[in-house]
Amino acid sequence: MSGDSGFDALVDAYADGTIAEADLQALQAALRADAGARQRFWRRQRLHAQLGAACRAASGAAEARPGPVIRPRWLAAAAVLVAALGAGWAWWPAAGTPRLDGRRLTVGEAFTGPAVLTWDDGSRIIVDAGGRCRAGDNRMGPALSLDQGCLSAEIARQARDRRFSIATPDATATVLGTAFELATDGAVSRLAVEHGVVRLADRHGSVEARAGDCAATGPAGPGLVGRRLAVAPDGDDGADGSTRHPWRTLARAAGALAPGDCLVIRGTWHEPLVLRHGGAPGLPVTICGDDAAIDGADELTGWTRRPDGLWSAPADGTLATPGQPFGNDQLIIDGAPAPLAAWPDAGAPAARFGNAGIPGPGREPASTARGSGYLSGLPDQSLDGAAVWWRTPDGRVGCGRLLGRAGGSIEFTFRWDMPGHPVTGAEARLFAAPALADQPGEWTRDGEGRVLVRLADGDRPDRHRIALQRRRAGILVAASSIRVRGIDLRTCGIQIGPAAHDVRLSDLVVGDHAAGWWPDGDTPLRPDPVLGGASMERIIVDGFPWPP
Amino acid sequence: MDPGLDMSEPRLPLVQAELLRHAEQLKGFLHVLINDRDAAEDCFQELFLTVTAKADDFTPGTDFLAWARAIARYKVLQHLDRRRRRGPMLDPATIEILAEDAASFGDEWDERLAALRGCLERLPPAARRLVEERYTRERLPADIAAATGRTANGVTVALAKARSALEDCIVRRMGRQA
Repeated sequence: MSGDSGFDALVDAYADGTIAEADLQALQAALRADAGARQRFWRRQRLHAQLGAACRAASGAAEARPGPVIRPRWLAAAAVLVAALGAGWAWWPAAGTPRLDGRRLTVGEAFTGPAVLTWDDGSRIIVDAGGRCRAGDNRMGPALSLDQGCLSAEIARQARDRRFSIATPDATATVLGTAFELATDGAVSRLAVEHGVVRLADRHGSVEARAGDCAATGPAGPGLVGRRLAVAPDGDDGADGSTRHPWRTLARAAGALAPGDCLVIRGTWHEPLVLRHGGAPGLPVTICGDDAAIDGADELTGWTRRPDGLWSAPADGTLATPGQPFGNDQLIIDGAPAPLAAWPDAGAPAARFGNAGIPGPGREPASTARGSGYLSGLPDQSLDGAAVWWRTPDGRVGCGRLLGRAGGSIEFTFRWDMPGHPVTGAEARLFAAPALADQPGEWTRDGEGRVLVRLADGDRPDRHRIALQRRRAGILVAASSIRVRGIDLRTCGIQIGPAAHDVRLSDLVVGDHAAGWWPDGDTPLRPDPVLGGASMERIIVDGFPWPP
Repeated sequence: MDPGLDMSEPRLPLVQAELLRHAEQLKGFLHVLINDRDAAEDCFQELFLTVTAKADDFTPGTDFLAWARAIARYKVLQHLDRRRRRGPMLDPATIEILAEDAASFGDEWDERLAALRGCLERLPPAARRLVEERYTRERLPADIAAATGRTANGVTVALAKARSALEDCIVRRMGRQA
């Protein structure tokens, strides 16, 4: 982290109320001693103050302010109260939190039972004496955290986009309610149960179907249809795939599915789930996760240290797309995406082309052109292997590959059909040359595809989990009448084939799916975690509901 | 003193008009020093009362903002004496030094705020929602993490990325306007 970005992080921690005492003392010392630090403090705190003003205005809170501020204090206070009641201001405890003795609790507020909690939807929880709890907000996560003790709950039917859950230190209990599909062609009725228990009955008899079951009417009466199958990392592909003798690979399981089947997946997987066998109308194939995750990244091993201090590991293959020389690869360090080696560093002022030109223009859209430009402040080290990115003053972007440099002047190749061509004044960045990995956590590849990572002095790769994204899609759906639910997707997303229809996704958690960002920091290379058409419910992407 | 100015004319309407015009900048000034939105709003109300009471002390034609900031500075110190914000705070001596350096704080305030609003629109949806959780609903990173099942560090990193992206965007937009 550069000096300025480190100072900004201190100020951010101060603004967020998370600054440690030692860091606060260091911040104070810097502010007292250095006018430059004070200026930077003002600039960063100005951003915080203006973010508050802009966000409140956008939410309507500012418009709820009762007219000009030039009023006596008591009038202003009364008007604020009226506006708050009318507009539901943010500082009032959120509506997803429970009430205790008639008072609405705030998120994180702790209390000890005995206690009776109620929610606006009629849900009710009784916490036993001695039970220790913290209030949550059931619009964004667990409604309650039970740290110790017992409770009993009666939960009302929830809205389609909401789940009621209670967290304990080691688990989460989620109320699923009842959800099912029912189809008929006038002669045969088919039932597929997502949650709960549903009875299907006709004049011959009845059958009870539970979550994941399918049932259908027939000449002898209703009966369960399809199989309940399972796959787990400790399974055996030679087994029968039952819940007692699960299969071992997702490929084995996916290849055996038939209409009405319910496949339960357990464990963490480093292979994609490719669904080429689907269900039928009213008899879907259902994929249920049971503490299941599909990870699109594989951990790298075999690290060695280079003379330049970078750590290197073999990594065959790349997800990079031709024409995007720096993009689509994603390295994950301890669960967080690592920044690609770049100049200027994040937080530093943007560099701009001087004397940019196109000495060798292409003649056809797909041809390669040659560009040149001057960049003040280029690092002295070799930039061999660097990718060049630019954004023109009118916002069009382009990228290319560095050919060579002489001082601050560079020459590079690029595809003529890039949206933006290099011009004087365009913002420019260089990426991916090993010499640009000068900050801990930055990474790139060498000319042989090996992954290179800069770590802090004295640090070693074996103290971290460093993984490279290998699969953009963790789940690929190439068949119809499929239901997928309850699976975490890490560093990968979901792809629905164009011919697939009647696909429904629910209760999925997707994290770090995007294969990187354009260098401007606000344009994702891959914006959607779900490509293709599907019905979606309760999908969480990077901590927030999806679609937005 | 301007000999042509009628010193008997009440200053209150002028001072109130200037206060209204600079209200957001002064609130921002208070927010930076107090580091607490609610407390800054309370302090601003007190500032209003004091500025109104001292309206006749203001000399028309001089720098209103500098005059009001000087009063605001004392309000901040009074606030710190009366009550402590939850969480760590800079000590009064440091805040006094900071207040003296605020001369250029209000420069281009409205232009920067307008640029920021445009930049917020361009944030990726996930980052935008995170920023809204932090600044509209005033949730701290630990609360956001608890509500979303993420780690506090993950939320902090994501916020830092969003803030830096917004800073860069503001600089670009201000540069284009220049």
